[in-house]
Amino acid sequence: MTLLQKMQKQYDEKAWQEFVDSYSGYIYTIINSMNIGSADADDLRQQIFIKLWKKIPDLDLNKISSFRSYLTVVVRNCVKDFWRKSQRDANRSDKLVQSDSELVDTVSLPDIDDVIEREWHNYIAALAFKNIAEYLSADATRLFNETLKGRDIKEVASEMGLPLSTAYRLKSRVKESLIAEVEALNDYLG
Amino acid sequence: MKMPMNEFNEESLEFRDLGSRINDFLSSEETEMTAEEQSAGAPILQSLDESRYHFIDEEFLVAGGAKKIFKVYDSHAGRHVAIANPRKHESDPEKEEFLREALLTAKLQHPNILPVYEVGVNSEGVPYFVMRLLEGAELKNIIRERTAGAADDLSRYDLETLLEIFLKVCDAVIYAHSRGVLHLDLKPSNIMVGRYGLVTLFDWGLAKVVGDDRGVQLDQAAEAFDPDLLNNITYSGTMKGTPGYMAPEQVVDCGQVTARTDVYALGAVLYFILTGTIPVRGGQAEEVIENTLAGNVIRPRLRRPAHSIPRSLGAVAMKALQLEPNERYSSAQELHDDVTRHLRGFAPLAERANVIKRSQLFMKRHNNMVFAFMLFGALLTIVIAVSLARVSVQRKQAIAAKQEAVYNLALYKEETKVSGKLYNEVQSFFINSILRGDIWNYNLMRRMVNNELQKTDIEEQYKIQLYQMKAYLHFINEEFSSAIDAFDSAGFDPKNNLYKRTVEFAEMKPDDSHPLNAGQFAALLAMPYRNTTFRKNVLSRCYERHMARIGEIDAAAYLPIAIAMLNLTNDSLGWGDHVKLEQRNGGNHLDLKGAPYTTLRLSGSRWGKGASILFPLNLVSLDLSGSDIREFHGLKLPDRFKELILLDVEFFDAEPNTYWLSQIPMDRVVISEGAITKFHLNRLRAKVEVIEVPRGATYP
Repeated sequence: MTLLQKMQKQYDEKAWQEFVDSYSGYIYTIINSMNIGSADADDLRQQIFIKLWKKIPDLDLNKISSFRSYLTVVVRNCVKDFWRKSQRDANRSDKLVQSDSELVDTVSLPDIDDVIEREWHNYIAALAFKNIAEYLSADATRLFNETLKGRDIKEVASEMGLPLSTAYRLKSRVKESLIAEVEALNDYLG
Repeated sequence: MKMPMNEFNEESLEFRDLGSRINDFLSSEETEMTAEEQSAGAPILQSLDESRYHFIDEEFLVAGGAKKIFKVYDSHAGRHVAIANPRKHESDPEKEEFLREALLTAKLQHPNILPVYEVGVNSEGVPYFVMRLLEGAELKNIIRERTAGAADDLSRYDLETLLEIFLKVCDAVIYAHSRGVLHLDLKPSNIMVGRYGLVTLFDWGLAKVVGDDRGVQLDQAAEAFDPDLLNNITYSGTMKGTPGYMAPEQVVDCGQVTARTDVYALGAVLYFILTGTIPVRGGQAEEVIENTLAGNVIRPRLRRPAHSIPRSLGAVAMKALQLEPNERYSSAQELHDDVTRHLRGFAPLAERANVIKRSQLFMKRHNNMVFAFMLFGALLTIVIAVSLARVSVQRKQAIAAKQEAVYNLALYKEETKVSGKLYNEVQSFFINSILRGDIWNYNLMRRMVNNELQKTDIEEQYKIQLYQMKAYLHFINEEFSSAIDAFDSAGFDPKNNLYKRTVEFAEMKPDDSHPLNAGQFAALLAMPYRNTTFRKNVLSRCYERHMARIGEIDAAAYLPIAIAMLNLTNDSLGWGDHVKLEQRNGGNHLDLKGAPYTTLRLSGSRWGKGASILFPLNLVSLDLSGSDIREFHGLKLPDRFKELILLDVEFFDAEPNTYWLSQIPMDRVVISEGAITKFHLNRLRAKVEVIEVPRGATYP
């Protein structure tokens, strides 16, 4: 069962809390990467959640391909509304601007869809690492962190005093678990 | 051994960068593991050789989620043992996962833990591990029979014996915790009780090696368990234990499991021993989980008033089953000690026994003449004691009254806070959805309406809306008399169509406590109403609730309901008076030739319940020839369903149509020649027999 199915089945505070916990960081990151000030970002995030809260019970899960695609639409609309509003405020006296829709279209927006897609993968990857970290030893986490920085595994292994075979073993264990958890998270949240 | 305790902040830039680096890492390397990595990733598998297999005479015993277990004869040692094989052993990671559990169990060496004798890989490369053959009965079955009152079980397993069994399980868990291992799936069906006092805890499939920051007291003298080698990761979205025995923190996705998670499960096992049931109510997993999360543990003595459960043991179980981990016993050892205290005739700490209880127990333990003297001496003090006790009782009452007042105030404040929030965020959404007839959660909405109506300071307009909602909700529950009252309170015009219908049905069935009969209910579903969205929404909910309430229903009696429901979904009011069920071998045949139905699913159905409009008809065969049918997904039919006839049906959307058709469990589907393109036809044929009938010909 995915989180969304769970949401629909038990439309209550707990499911909602899990939902907010799961997506809050992600939505925040998207908004953040669009150069929206932090006070506005909080408002916007709240708006997005209120919108989702209203819509989720009515969603026909058979009709949407993935929750992420749906989320993309909601986030995109909320962000566009926000931009439209803030530009209108800024340009209230500017007669050159004809209409709201023109405004949004003429401004060179960062491509929201791309941002949403890219940040999703980043978010899921980091979340996967967070989730599996508690199953791993300190050595395994440290070794993997060093590899992520682009360092050579042989060098790290000798620095940590690990036999090379152990280092390989730890690295592939982390990698294997990461791949599986990313897949599981995409199923569960995506 | 210290586990990493990285601080992760999901809103931070670091978190994002970490994700981005991991993605770079995963995409720079092949996602598929290289052969070298695969062998490095399966160190246990690599260390085994296949030359030593010496087990014969396999006899299947049992299969679980991850492994199959056989009884075999060990030709070297000359004894029967049990051997486990993984269900999935396609890839090295799968084999390794199986071996991790094997090695973890093998390393746990304790008389009450199922011993692993040997771990290996057979000539086909399939890993196995060998265990002692379990004999006896599961604790679950022992308690079941005892609760049911089987005479010989009562005599063999009195409460004291069962508590001794429980203590042995505690011992095994205490030992595992000393090695940093949490079991995480403790339950009566994982405890085997044999003869000669043999108690065995098994199934370490969900076990987890943790560091000493998780409330386990590691035995420093013992060999450390390597989490990288032994931990199987429970990936997101998968079930992590058994509802009823899982602690609240284990149920939620981000909860942190500790030694106290096992303490909770041990508490649930103790509870099961005392009452024969799990600690919370619920017939279904979701309900159980909901109650677990809410901490709705029912006191054992309330659960089984007739069983004379010792108060002190009830208190022990309740302490172990606290919602907050910090309020439980801090270790399995503490729980063990409190049960021991009871067995030895002392009051457990959890009971917080008073002087009288303590002295009762004291007398029980030292039942001899000395106490006659003590009693005599005590008599002298009793006079004083009684007057003192009286003062104490009065004081206690005063304190209790004060505490209750404080508690009530807190409750009231909480209530105000919650309802305030409701007003701000959800109120308008809530009103709108009900007035649209969109009942997304019947019970919740009913509760909300009743709560709101109890308030004294609500506006008149809002009050009217609330009564209107109340009326709808009663209508949906077939409580027509109550619905009329609510309509009246909302000042509804008696000429209103819905009001008139309600009156008709109230005359038909004045008693609100039972549902309409099948014919009446079909008439309700066929009720005309101007606002179609509203009509569909409300009647669909009626249907869902009605079906949930009546349980089993005779197929013939149900037929008019099914037709009315299909008409409702497909906006074809009035069609199908001629439709009849024909008896066939093993079930019924339904003829829906030429039906104006595009779908057989309940519209707007959220939880998939509505997918089963046809289900109660007990169909083996269904003819939809010449109908307008457009979609086949979510079509739930009985297992014995055989044949779907779709002559002269056009498949506008071949891809999803054939996919969903292939998902229906049936023997064959009959279509007109050429109705489905060859490509899709071949795919469909892989799943089900397809009979193509020339255009114009009939079938059968």
